[in-house]
Amino acid sequence: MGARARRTAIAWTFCGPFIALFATFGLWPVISSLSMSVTDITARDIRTPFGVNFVGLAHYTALFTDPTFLRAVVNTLYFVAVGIPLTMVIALAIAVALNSGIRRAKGFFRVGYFAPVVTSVVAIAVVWRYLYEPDGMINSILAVVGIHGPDWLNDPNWSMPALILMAVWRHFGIPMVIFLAGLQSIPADLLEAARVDGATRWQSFRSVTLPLLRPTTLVVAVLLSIGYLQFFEEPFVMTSGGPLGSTTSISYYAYEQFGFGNYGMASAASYVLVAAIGLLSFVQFRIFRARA
Amino acid sequence: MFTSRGANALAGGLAVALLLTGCGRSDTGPAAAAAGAPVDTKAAGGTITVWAMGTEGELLPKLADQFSKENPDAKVEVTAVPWQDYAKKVQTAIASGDTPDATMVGAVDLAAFASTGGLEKVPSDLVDPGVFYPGAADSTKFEGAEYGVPWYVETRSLFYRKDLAEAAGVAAPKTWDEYGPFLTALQKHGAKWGLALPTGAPSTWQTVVPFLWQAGAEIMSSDGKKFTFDTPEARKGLEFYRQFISSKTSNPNGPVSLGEIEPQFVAGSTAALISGPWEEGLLKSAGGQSFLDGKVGIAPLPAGPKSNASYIGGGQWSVFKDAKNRDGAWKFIRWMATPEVQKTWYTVSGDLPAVQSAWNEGKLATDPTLAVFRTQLKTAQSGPNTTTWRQVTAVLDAEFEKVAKGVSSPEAALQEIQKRAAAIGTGQ
Amino acid sequence: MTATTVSTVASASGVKAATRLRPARILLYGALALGLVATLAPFAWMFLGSIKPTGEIVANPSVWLPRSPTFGNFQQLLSKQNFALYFFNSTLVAVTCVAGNLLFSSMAGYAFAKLEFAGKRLLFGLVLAMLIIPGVTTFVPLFVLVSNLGLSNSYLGLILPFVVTPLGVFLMRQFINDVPDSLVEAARLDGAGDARIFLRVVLPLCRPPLATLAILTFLAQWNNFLWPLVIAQTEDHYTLPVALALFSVGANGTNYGLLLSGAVTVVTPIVLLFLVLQKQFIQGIANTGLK
Repeated sequence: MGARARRTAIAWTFCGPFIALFATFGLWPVISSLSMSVTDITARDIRTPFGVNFVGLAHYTALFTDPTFLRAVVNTLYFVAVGIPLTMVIALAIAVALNSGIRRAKGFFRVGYFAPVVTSVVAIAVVWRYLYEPDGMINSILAVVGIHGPDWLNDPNWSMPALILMAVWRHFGIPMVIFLAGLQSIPADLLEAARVDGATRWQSFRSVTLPLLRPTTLVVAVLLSIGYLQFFEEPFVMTSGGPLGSTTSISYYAYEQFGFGNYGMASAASYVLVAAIGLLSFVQFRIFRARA
Repeated sequence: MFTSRGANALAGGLAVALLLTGCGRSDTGPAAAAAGAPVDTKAAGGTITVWAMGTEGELLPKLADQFSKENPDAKVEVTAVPWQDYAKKVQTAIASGDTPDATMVGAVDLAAFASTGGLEKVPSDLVDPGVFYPGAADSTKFEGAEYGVPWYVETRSLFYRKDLAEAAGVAAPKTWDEYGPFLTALQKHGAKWGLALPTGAPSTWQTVVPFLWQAGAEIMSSDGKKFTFDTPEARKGLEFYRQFISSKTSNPNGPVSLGEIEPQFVAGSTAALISGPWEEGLLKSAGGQSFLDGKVGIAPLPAGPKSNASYIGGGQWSVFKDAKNRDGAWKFIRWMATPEVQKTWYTVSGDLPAVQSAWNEGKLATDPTLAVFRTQLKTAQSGPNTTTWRQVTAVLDAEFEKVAKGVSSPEAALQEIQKRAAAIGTGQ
Repeated sequence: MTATTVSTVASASGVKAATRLRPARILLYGALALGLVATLAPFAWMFLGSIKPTGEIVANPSVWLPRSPTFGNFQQLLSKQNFALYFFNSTLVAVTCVAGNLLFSSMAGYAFAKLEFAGKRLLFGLVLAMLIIPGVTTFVPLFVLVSNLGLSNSYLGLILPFVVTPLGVFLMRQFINDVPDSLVEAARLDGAGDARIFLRVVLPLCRPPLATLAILTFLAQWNNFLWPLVIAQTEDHYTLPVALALFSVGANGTNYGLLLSGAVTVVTPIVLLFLVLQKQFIQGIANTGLK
């Protein structure tokens, strides 16, 4: 047995358990569902999954001529385009505030801001529906500053912003912690040097902190894209995709198709989503890597 | 047909092999018998495993104990299953062939489950379908055969603020002509909205399609092969729905989530709503017993040109093809459909019996609220039993929402519904 | 936050800029506190709701403080048969998945990071690709597979599909990649085999990413609903979320009291876990995501 073969054998021993489980419970179902997307399989066929016809890319072309799906694509992009930057800005702002030298109660703040991440979405949906009532808490606060708030969840123009706000609330905790970790790894003497050179806080933040945070930002952006493109839970528990289809996302569309028993169509919609996630992650890697 | 466990073991790979071997649909279906093999009348034996949803699942063991007493060799094992996503659970079980013996089925899901080939047809002579409310018996049929036995039923009637009606000096409406004026009178006595109507939330159709039926519409051709939404009667019904909203009798932003409307009804800002037997419990927890007794009235839905048809839902029982104790399961189901046991189940759970004769004595015969539902059940209808019905209802909900919000006219909505429903097809 | 506390904080921090910017510091605390109140408001509503009778939960307009607080919801929840068993099942599944992920992911992460072998790039590429596949896509085939392995209605069936995750391997590989090769080589020169290097050199350094992985895995499994729902064929294999859905979500209505008290029951262990592990967790992310 050569040294090379020996090393490969050792490596496979280390990977073995993972690969065996990953191939069985990870890859195999993916290959199955990918092949479902090119057949006309429906719930009727689940007992005879081989008795279906190959339909090629018919589901994919059908998707892009279905106005409901196109609307879902637009809605998902809207959610991602507004939600990701908003989440990142809020997470970064809080992380910077927590990292600006305060000691007392820092752990308390950190846990408090992280808490929404661990709440159950079904329970919290009850709360948010009350917050968004026409005379609910959010509109009461707006009324104090003289703004007549909309009927959030019933107005097709405001339903998506309402869900974005809720999603940001639920999700900013993890990016905040990641940013906080990133900030802590920035050497203090670099910032000190900038200060000595007469830079204001804002200037040193822009010219020292932000560039050094670029790898962190990449991680956050990729994680958020993966999560936000799968936008599902908020419309599922809050609006059922309405009003007037204004919050139907690609995931929600796929879920509905699964519910209707159109497994082929549902799988195809899912893989459109997978392609989008892959593409966006790739673009982000290129942008951030190129500048870094 | 690949129905053996061995073939199912390969099913995990689904169509990978298919792509290589080029299998396809075979033109010859299985020879279809009209009913399942008969079941004898001897006592049941062995272990019978069943699934039942929600409260029914929690309470069923009480009934099952009684069955075991009468059939000492039989033991019923009940698994209570959450309503949430239960259809996924049933379908994945069918897909794998790994099922219990029997399951409770929500009326809307029967066609979808039956179409997979995972349910057994009801044995001939197990029960006489004529003993059930006709709407309940209809909802067990799929492609000409019966796949379920009705167990309990529910239908929707008109709940209104009795105190406001008395103050206004109006009696509950009996016809469409009296409907609007009645609600307007309640609004004059303090209610912001006369009647709460769903405006696009899931299952909006269960409240709106009855308007179409009341106007005389049939939404499916008699042979069950195509949908017929775009008819003058349907237009009349949908126009009637629209008028509630355009006349500001009903809120264009109707309730979205369960439990949303009750506080408004208790507060008096909404004077009436259309709901089922469970509504009493919800109103009691939102407003208390005194509110329920003193301020809530209930009446059958007002009749349109054709009828006062309402929607009928409920639970029924089906046996899986892969059942290990199919005889025992059918015997248990047959037993649950006897009038005596139906009455017992009503006392245990409050579920309304699907068997008509069970209503002839006791509280079921005398309670005034139950009398309203009993009247309503006589004309209540179920949705068409096609595999695609769930998908069509999503179109209905979306188009009815457009009508409610003034984005679409009843005519345009029905044309669009007809077009899209035709494209979805009836699954045949 | 009172002024005295702020000044103590400022002097204790010993940062020069801090004393100079005391008003700014007060402003900062004020803003953070305000943000925290806004963030925790829905959360607080949930906790308060769990001790309200149902009529108060659904009251319109809604009320914040319970007028007649009650532990009835919790009593009702605990009186449900088998509640302790559901709690045990949830814990067993979550803890086993955490253990499996920690062990198998760190082993595989070591191989991907420090060993050379044929197929490494392809395999790691597949791991990355799997990171982006939504669960809903593979649900049906996965169930058919597990059931045909004879694992439905068993703890193995609940656990095995989640005992390794691509995220775990990705995290561990990233971290171990940054363990200096010199450390590994030095140990090798001392005659240590890979098993020894992994156990004695690499693993002790991995506490931060292991803490991160532990929290993320626990969170995902503790809240998992759809999989335990379909795989458990009898109630003795139900987990908490399945049992809660059974008790609180009806065909025609939701028992909000049970729903909220159930949510509190489910959330509390995770908050406690985060409290215990938060330092490791944050450090873990600091050391993995940033390279």
